[in-house]
Amino acid sequence: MNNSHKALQLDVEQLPELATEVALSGSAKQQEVGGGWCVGVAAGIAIYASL
Amino acid sequence: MIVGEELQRWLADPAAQRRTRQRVDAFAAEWDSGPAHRAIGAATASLKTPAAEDVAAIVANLFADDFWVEQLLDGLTEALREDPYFEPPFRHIGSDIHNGLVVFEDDHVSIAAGVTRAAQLAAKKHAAQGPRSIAFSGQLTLFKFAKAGGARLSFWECPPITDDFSAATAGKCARRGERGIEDGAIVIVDGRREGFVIEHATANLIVLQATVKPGRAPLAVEYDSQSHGFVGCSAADDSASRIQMISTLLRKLDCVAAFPAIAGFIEHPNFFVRWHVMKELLGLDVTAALPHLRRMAARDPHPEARRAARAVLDRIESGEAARKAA
Repeated sequence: MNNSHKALQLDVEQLPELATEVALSGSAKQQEVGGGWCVGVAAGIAIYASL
Repeated sequence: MIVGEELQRWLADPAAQRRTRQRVDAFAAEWDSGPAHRAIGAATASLKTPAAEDVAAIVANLFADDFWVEQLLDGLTEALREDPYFEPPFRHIGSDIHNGLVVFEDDHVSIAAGVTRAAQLAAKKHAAQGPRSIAFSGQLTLFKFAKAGGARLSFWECPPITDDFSAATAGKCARRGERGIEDGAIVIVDGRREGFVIEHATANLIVLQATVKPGRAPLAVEYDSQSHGFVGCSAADDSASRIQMISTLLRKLDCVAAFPAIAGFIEHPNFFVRWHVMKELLGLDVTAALPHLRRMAARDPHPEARRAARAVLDRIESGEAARKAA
């Protein structure tokens, strides 16, 4: 491992974001018109399946 | 909380609690070696690297003859009759209108059985305020409507959600029809380009839902229900989100020793994970991250990752040039 990492530093918060913002799994920007069923339940399965 | 006498006795009786635990364990063991597990296990064992459609075909067969669901429900009912403190050995999933249990899961598929409550669905639709979304889960999903509750579903389509998805090219979703669902109907929704909305239901829906794991898209995507335009997206696979969160935590802890482990995700199939990991590597050790950054700027499959990497590389190189000039 290179020990020079302290010499040259970047502030991660200042690095560019992708134009396509991707939220964490299971989250949604708006409520589903069908009642929070499709993604909510599928994401729930995915999360539990990996525990 | 008011505790009834019977519950008080159970709470004060370790032997009774052990018996309950033994019943739960015995039920789980019997279920795990039962016909549903055997049927799926035998079918998927013959597939080395199954495609989503292969798994869907296996599940469709299992859904067509769902004697095992009846056995499961009978078994749960019997167990609860014998012991009111029996807890089904399945994980619970749910939303504000749906509750279910994950009754099967392996590397290929997760199957949940659940109830969607018509009253809550109606109340939610009635109280709806503000913008709403039509969701595309990014995963091939099979639904068996054991009780369809008089439901009418509208079906929607969006541009395929692929590895090179971007907000700029997400396009719009479009309605592809509506139909009533009969009891026992099996509906396959390819969440990589298809979605649906429960428009109406007169009674509770009892639904089996199988979520196929192979071939899932990187993202779940939302489109606005009015404009049909792109609203946002989220990771379809929670492991992608976990990688992002853990790499951020390690960087914030300045855990330079974790650099190689984090760098192991720089070729992750999801473009947003690759860029996230790249940023954390830069935060840990710019010099060590530079070769990865150069590779990403030159040949990452996703244009947004290439562009972002190029921008950071330019910033670093212009800083170096300025230092040399000084």
